[in-house]
Amino acid sequence: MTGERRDDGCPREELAVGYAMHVLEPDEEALMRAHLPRCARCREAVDATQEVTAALGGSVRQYDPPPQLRTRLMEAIEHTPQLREEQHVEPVLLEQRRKSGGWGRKLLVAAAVLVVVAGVGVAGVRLVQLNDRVAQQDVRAERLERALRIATDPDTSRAVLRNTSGDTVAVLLSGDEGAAIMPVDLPANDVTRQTYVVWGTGTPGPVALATFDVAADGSDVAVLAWSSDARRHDGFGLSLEPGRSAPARPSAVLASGQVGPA
Amino acid sequence: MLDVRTSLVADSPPPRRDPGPRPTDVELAARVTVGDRTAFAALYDRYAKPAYSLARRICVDPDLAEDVVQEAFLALWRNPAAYDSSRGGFGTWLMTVVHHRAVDAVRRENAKRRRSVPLTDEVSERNVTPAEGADHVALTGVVGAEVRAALQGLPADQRQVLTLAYLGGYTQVEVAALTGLPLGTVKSRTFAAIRRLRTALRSAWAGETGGDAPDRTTGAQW
Repeated sequence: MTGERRDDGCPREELAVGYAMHVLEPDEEALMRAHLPRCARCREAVDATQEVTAALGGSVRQYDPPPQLRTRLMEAIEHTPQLREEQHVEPVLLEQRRKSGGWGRKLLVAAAVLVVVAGVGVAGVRLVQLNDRVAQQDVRAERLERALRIATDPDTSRAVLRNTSGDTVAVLLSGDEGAAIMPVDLPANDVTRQTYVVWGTGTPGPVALATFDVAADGSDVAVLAWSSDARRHDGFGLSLEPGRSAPARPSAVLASGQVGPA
Repeated sequence: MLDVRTSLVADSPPPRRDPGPRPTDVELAARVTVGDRTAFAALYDRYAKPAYSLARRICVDPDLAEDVVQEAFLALWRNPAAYDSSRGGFGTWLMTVVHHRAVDAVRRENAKRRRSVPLTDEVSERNVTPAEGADHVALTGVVGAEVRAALQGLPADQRQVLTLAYLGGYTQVEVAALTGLPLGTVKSRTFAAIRRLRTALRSAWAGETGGDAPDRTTGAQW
């Protein structure tokens, strides 16, 4: 350790520095991307780090770029459409919604006032919908924080799960505080009729360890119910199974991987 | 910070024949949002050299570096709103984009690449050659010297992980494997190195300007 004094900032600042430097593993990077909109302190750390690394990047030996690069670039922009301002509106709003329950709660208050004033069922329905949305955001935020705790625990094991082509489809984090799986390239499952199953392969036969779902956007981390027996495995497989519970044996293994050096 | 330092070069008092002040990076970037090709070309002329140099340092392969710089500037053209001036200077943003793209490129081309970053202070060993021009001397002479001095001031173990990660393009897990250090140590050393560098550079820049170090980020705590 360095002995560097740490003040009372966010415990994820170390990860924020790694995020700014683009040196995290895909799962950590995805978790930080989800964390940043809700943490001003970590955004500050990212901005400050990028300021330092940009200076570092500007101090390397300088080379003149080839003249044809400018010519090619100026030609290329003639065939490259620009995104219009209005195309950014929706993502920005969505991002603001994700930042915290604060915005959603203010909206709830406004909606509640609307209910009182109007006193009609329509507003009541909207309030319920908004309430559901805020509750979903809170659940998601809690899940992300738990996954971040697992990811930043130095004793956590990380297994990259790859398909037969060698492409990464998910990253599994297995730790003393639990486990989490970060889909990288997994299609959404039908949550009424299917489930993904994590298998432990550290035993003579595969053992079902946990089940999880992948949402439509395929990007949310899943925190897994994890036993001490599951923790002992250092090899894992992944399958998509019919039904909502794990079968005795996997029907087909979609991806597998071993615990890496971390 | 690069943008401030670079602007000491790019925005330094122009030759007497120049009739007016040069537009700032932020002004140019704003003009790119409405499709101003001249503004885009001006930003390219200001930053192509440090951007290409960084890409070349990371990619090693000049052709790959060229592709990286082209893609970074094309990304700016496609979506100029991606640069948010409230979060920092344009140079900082652009160099970050170039770095990330260069690292992605070398990770993709891993097998072809020479990833032989010396464990010594690679940056501080670089020398300015006279043939590289006055702007280069200004950039690396003024900017580079203080950065190199700050880097040299880091404990060797911090400098090692920072150099491997930032200039080598290795992930922290890879740095841990290369150095034999626990991952947690790599993370904490990187964190400490960035903080120390920031403190050193802020102090150097404040000394130059005779006042507070310029800081366009939220920067109060960091």
